[in-house]
Amino acid sequence: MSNNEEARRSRKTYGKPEVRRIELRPEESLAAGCKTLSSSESGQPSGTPCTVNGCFDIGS
Amino acid sequence: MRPSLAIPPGGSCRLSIAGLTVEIAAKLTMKSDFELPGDLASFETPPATPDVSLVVDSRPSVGATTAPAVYDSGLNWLLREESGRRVFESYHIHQGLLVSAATQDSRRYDVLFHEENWERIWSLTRGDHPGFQLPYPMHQLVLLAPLARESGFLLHASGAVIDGQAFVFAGHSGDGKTTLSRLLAAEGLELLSDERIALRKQGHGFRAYGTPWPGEGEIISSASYPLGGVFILRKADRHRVREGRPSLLAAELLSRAIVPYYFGRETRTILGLVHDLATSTPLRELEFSLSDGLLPVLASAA
Repeated sequence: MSNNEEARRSRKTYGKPEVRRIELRPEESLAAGCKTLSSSESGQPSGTPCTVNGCFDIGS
Repeated sequence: MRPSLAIPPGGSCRLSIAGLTVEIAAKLTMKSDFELPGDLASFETPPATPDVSLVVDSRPSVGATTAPAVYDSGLNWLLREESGRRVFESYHIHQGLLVSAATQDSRRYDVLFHEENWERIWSLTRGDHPGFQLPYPMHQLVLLAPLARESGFLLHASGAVIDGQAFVFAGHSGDGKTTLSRLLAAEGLELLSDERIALRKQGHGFRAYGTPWPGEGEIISSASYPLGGVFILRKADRHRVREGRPSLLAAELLSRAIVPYYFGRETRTILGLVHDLATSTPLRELEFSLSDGLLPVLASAA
């Protein structure tokens, strides 16, 4: 196989440019949200913002 | 959760989180103990030169700084900047300012609790908890800049160990980090976290660290391992590893990182780290289901 042919085969197929949307969640990217570690302790369901009741767990 | 680490006024302790030595010292003038959640006990470390120090104190009343907010989370904290000083402030929706953490260089934070507001909250809720604790997510916020300085960042991810290497599974909330962790635990794998992994660049590769910030699976580990690979999590009806397009996967990874976008330098550092990771470490998609047989699929990809 000649070098030219090898190079042609290894060349990537042209792909038309396209826009892909990646989901960015500000409350997660900026650690702004509060998901309580123990919902039974705080009386809040997981994912409740910390401001509602004042949650002090270190959970995610 | 009951705190298992309580630092009395005048006391101190040291933790190792993501390889950073974090020293916490309570001033003698503090009204009561500074308490750390039980999760952090296993992160205690012998004395060493700290990478970051938290000097904690309290006052009967603490006024909010008048500097404009650089970033407002819209929830319970905001960031102000004044004469090069960064101040994180944590609020309670009814009682107001609870605590501020001010720093000039992200190496030392002066943490100041508002005693009256703090005590009012505890008397309203439990009434049996006089010690001070950092409200969520202050522990993480104060570490973001020091971690970036040491070529690291936090990722929304679970992590497990296969043949001495860490494999990290990045996912948004609801993508199945805790579910996957339970599946991997059932396979007998050591877990690093079911919610938050720290990644730090080391040489030409990366190292993955467990963190004290768990998800619903309450998986906590202070262990760390060389990073063997990163997967973007997808729920599916079977287990499968997919290669995907590197540029898209890198973008997906970035969207699952915790990035202090309000800090330009640290943001640029983390963008560079994500690029370095995507070009040095296998980055793929993991489709997984609730069925058995996940480990062979991962082992063949490892």
